[in-house]
Amino acid sequence: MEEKERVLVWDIAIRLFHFLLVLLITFSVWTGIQGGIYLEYHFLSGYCILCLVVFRVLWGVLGSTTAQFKSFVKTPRTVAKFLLEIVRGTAPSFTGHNPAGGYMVITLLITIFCQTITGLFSDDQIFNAGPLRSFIQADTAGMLTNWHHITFDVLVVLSAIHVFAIFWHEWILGERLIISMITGKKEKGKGSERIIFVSHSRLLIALTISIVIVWGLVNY
Amino acid sequence: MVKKWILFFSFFGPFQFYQLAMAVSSEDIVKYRQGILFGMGWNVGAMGSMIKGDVPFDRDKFIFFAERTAALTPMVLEGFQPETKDVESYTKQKTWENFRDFEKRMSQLLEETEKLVEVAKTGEESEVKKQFGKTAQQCKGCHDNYKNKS
Repeated sequence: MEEKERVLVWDIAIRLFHFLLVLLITFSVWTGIQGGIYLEYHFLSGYCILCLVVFRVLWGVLGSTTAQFKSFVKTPRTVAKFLLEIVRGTAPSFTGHNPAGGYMVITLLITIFCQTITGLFSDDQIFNAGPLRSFIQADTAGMLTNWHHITFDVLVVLSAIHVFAIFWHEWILGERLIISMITGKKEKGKGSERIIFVSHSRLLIALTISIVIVWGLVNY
Repeated sequence: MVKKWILFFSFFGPFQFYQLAMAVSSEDIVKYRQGILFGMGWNVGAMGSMIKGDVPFDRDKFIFFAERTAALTPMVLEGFQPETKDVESYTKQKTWENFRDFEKRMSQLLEETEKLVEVAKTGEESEVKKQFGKTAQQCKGCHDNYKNKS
């Protein structure tokens, strides 16, 4: 098989964002199931996850080409066409996110955002309460705590689809996406316009803004 | 110790030892159990503020709240009489279907709260925190299985 040239596609910010998110969500699931005094760490982990989500949104505007929303959010028609091509086995590989993957990014970000926001208003009706819990009534908090559990179920399903798709690419389509997510390097494919990587100082600025926003929200 | 035996024997016949000695409406029984549970939440919350560091850890106060929690715990089941099944409350219907499990969890909670009193009297602050966590997890067990959040 002919070795295609592997070029840098994912910048360090995207890769760190992704794996930190995986680690923090795993940690949050564990501390959430434990409850009790572990919820202290569950809360901290949640704040960090919210920071990451806000950062990712900023990075989707200010970041490198492959991180930008406008580079991978396509029209629904394009997505339908791509899914049809997948079924037929004629789907091209893409340099960045493919049209379906692009929407998965958005869906996951929205779900994780809802997960963290509902968490801020939740309580365990034992001795832990989210930082914004006191702004709402007890029954509203109960409802939002339920939502916090429902969005988690949604997140489990989405994560399963996400992992399934990754292994589909890895084993059926022969695209080595997992190693790409670690090294950042990937074979060039469709939509391989020149990728512009932005400076690390911009990364710091985006990160600082997201930390300030979340810190402000949590300590409101 | 006596409380523990009462709960132990209650396995052999539901409600045998916490049968109501008076005529009272189902709604009042629900109010009673909600009152007891609210009181427990009150005391657990007070200990929780110390554990979280919102207020400084004060051993005497902690023992006081732990003892009150341990004293309230055996009063809860009395409020879960079968005739309250259809009264609107936070109790999930499956509580009644799994009542033996619920009783078992309540007796485990009593063990944890009594241990909390012991540890609060003699243990290091870190041990108190650990035992408080275990007690709260026991609370969570029933909340997750048998309580609606809203």
